[in-house]
Amino acid sequence: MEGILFEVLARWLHFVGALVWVGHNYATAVTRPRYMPLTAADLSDPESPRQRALMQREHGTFRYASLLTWGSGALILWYRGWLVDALSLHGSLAPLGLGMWIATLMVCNLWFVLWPHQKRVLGFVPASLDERLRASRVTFLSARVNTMLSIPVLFLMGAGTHGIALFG
Amino acid sequence: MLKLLDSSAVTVVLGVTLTIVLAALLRLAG
Repeated sequence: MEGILFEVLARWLHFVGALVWVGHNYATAVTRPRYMPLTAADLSDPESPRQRALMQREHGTFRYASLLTWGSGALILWYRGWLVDALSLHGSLAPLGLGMWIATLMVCNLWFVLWPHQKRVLGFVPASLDERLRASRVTFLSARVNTMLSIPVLFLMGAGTHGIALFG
Repeated sequence: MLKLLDSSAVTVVLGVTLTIVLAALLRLAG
């Protein structure tokens, strides 16, 4: 009974974390369907509408949601004794394992590519105007790569649980 | 290549294409 409750709670956290994290990407994809590069004027004037919008945007929750999602997913696999077989893409756990590998790439992309560049764009880390403009392009591409990768990951999450017969 | 990601619609098409390719590979490997 406790085991089932633990797994249901972990799965719930996994869903909620994924929605908060990837929901950020999807919201941006819908509200800004085309890339609009920041300009020197946007970044040099703290009162410019785009700089104000940037500063008011949420910068922490989705990053920690990515850790919650990854951690709860890994916990479920570990609790079931599936972690090693999933990560080695063994048998019917291959879809889930592949999803976890791609999701791991996404977490690394978010924390080690997007966030360090975003800190430059926002001015949390000192950088020249040129560097900040270049960093804003990197953050955009990094986010879009994660948006693209989330599509197969969501498929593999579903296939791993409900579509084993398709790949077994 | 990365410029393709400037468009949300193309990003989704690339994601769906990648999904189909990976699903096909998993099916073949299974």
